[in-house]
Amino acid sequence: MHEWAVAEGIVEALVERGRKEGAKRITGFRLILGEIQGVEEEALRFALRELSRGTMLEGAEVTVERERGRVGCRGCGFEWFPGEGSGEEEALHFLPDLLPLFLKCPRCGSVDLEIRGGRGIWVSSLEIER
Amino acid sequence: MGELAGDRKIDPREAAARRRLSEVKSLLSVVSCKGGVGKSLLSATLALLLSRKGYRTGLLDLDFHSPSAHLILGETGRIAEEGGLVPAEVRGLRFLSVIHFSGQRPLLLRKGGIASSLLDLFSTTRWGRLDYLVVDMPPGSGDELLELLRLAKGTEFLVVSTPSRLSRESVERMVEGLRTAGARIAGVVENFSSSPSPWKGVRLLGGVRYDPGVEEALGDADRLLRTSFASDAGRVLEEYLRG
Ligand SMILES: Nc1ncnc2c1ncn2[C@@H]1O[C@H](COP(=O)(O)OP(=O)(O)O)[C@@H](O)[C@H]1O
Ligand SMILES: [Mg+2]
Ligand SMILES: [Zn+2]
Repeated sequence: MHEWAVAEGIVEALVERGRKEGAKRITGFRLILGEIQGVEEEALRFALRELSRGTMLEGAEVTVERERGRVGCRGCGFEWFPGEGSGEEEALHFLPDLLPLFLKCPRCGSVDLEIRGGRGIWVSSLEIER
Repeated sequence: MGELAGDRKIDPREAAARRRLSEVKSLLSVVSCKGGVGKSLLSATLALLLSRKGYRTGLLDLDFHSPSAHLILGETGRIAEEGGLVPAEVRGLRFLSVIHFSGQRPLLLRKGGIASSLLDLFSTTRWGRLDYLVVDMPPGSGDELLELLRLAKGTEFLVVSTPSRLSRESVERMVEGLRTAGARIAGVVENFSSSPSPWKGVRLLGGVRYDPGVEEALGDADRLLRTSFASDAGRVLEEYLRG
């Protein structure tokens, strides 16, 4: 489960940030999930709940926003949304940036593709109690 | 809610990467500005030798455009998903390569995607406790190298060169660049060399001779370890381990 790895990173990064800011508790945060990252929200929420037990993150309200995956063709300029599950491939679960290896431009057939949206995972806002 | 400004946004993968790498005692990254100088052959051989000496060893092939380690080892093995990404087990090594993800697909990839993949790899891979993780790098001092340096600050660099001035000149410059970036340099290995001449300002770990027997041994780890290439690499390793 790579959701578990992601959740571990979130808890660790937020606790570190919270300490730096002199927080007693982190009461909420917003998480942006790039669709191409292929993170399953329910699994992630579950891992977050488990891992934040006993930390300043316990009970924090988690808002998840998804950013749509968007792929562009460097050949003809066409842009499209490959959609979730365009990676039945397990590989993409771990290395979403390899997505272009598994696609072709639907308009011109080019394989010179780039991901223009929906990559990465980050915390965009944070609510703390001092 | 307190919005985080652009540069204060938190990417959880960075903390995860740091933590997962903290289980690795020593990271040894094999680099050169040139291709074809023997980075991959040397990386795989050093990893096999370390493992034979009883060290828990991993081999990470980060050459996304031209992965070679699986060909040298003769086996790719299988990765698994369990609380993260579990590397394959090959010839006593924990082994991970882009080949585990790409299969036989042609590797037409732009650099941006590769740098970001390094972060994904380091943040999800469970190397477990390792004494050494040998990293086989692509040629050059671009994105991959800089990203590695950012994510794994403690890594030591083993720089491979040939005796040719065309290689030495740019390798000297690379060493200087790495030093400026605060990197630790293990030393230089001069490959395809019967009598390496001294290097200025950087430790020479040793020379490795041209060995026509290597080609036949590719894909057969036991045979590879019996070549004169491997015995030269073994001397390089002893010198490195002497610290
Ligand atoms: N000392 C050596 N003797 C014989 N062949 C070698 C030696 N070093 C490297 N080679 C061969 O040279 C080629 C390039 O080596 P490789 O390790 O792939 O270089 P790099 O990873 O730097 O691009 C390979 O075919 C390899 O087997
Ligand atoms: Mg190579
Ligand atoms: Zn196109």
